[in-house]
Amino acid sequence: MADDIDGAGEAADLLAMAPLMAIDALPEVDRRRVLRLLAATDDHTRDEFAAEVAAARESMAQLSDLTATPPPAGLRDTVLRHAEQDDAQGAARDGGSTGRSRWRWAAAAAAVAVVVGIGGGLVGYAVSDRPGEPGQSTSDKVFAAPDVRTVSGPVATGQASVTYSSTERAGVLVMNDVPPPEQGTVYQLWLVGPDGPRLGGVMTPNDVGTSTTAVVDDLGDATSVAFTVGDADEPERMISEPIAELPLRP
Amino acid sequence: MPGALRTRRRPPITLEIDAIENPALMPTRDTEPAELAALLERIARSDAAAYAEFYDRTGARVFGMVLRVLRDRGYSEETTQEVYLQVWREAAAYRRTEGSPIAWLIAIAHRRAVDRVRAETAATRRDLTYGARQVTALIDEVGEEVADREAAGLVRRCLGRLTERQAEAVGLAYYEGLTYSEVADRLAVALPTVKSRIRDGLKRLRGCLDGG
Repeated sequence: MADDIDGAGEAADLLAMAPLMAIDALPEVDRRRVLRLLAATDDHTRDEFAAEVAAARESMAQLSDLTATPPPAGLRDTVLRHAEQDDAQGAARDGGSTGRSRWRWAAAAAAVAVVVGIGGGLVGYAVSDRPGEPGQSTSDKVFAAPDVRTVSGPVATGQASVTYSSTERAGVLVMNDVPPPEQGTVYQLWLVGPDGPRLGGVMTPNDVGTSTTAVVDDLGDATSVAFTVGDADEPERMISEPIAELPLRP
Repeated sequence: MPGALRTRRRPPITLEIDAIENPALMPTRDTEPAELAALLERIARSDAAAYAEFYDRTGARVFGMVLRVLRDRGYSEETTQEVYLQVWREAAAYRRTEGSPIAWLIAIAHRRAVDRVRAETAATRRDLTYGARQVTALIDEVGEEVADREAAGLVRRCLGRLTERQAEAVGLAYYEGLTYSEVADRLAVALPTVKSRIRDGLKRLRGCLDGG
């Protein structure tokens, strides 16, 4: 598919990708292109595409009846406990005012947690979504690592820097004077590796202060981190080109 | 840094067919979409009891599908945990107009399973025939774990409507986690061929399921 073909051809081309999208068979680069084309296409084509995807997903969901396998008995407790802990963390982040996190982490094993910093430095605590691993240790480990490096660059009107360690495969992101995303949008942090980007975390307008700090627990094989602006209603979707990208050298 | 990426060859699994007394396997009924949707609405308001019930009613379908893709029980447990944490956090994002709750859930789970496969096995590809056999295997091997015999019979019959080539292409993509270009490489056929096999296969499956 190409971006520059005529309207009718483009619509047909786009719709032909719907079944592949529905079963996650698109390579990341094609997926991004489809999302970009979808954002630019007319409502009718977009609705038709969504209907195609939805119908295919209903079929695949019915297949899950056939493959149903009882999960290990202990998994139920783990799942319920994680939700409970998630709420507790949300309450802590929200200053104890609510029981529900305002964060809308999506995809990517919830590998990133963000806390609002004070005065530009790393503050108080970092949140890990992995129970049993003290969250603080990630940033400690990164700063103590022999191969600690820092890369920084502009994001919007502010500055972002990532201090990271290849051996720890973790990093700490600090953003200073980056304006919050507009209402209805979010900032998405992507960990870009050889297999394309994977979502590291999402920041809503409430999450971005004068100084914002995030701990990236699992950089995986990322060779850069990228920021995009996404739709708050679909925080896991990449719908724009990166507004900033910081290369991570090994 | 790529050297630090953990890779592990995933052994083939066999389906475990146990005698099951598990609420997760309760029959799929016509009322299920509405009931699960109501649970999701409660989950969006942090209702832990609704969350537990949602897990009990859907866990086997999520875990089973993820296990088919990952073929490692440990990875599958982790991925299932991630899926439900996402449900807990994003239940409010579910829209009834966009499909049934189970379709929403299985789509989330499949995406995560596929992400895991692609992150993990770029270097160590699995045995070549596994995914290709998956869809046709489902026609034969469905066992005691399926609670709703009537519905399962329908799905199985509908899978049988796919041509062997369609089933192979869909199986490689869905259960092996391959992209369509990888499927094309694997089968040594052109990209448009793979696209149309997947599209036609899914269309045929859907047409049969909808037609009952």
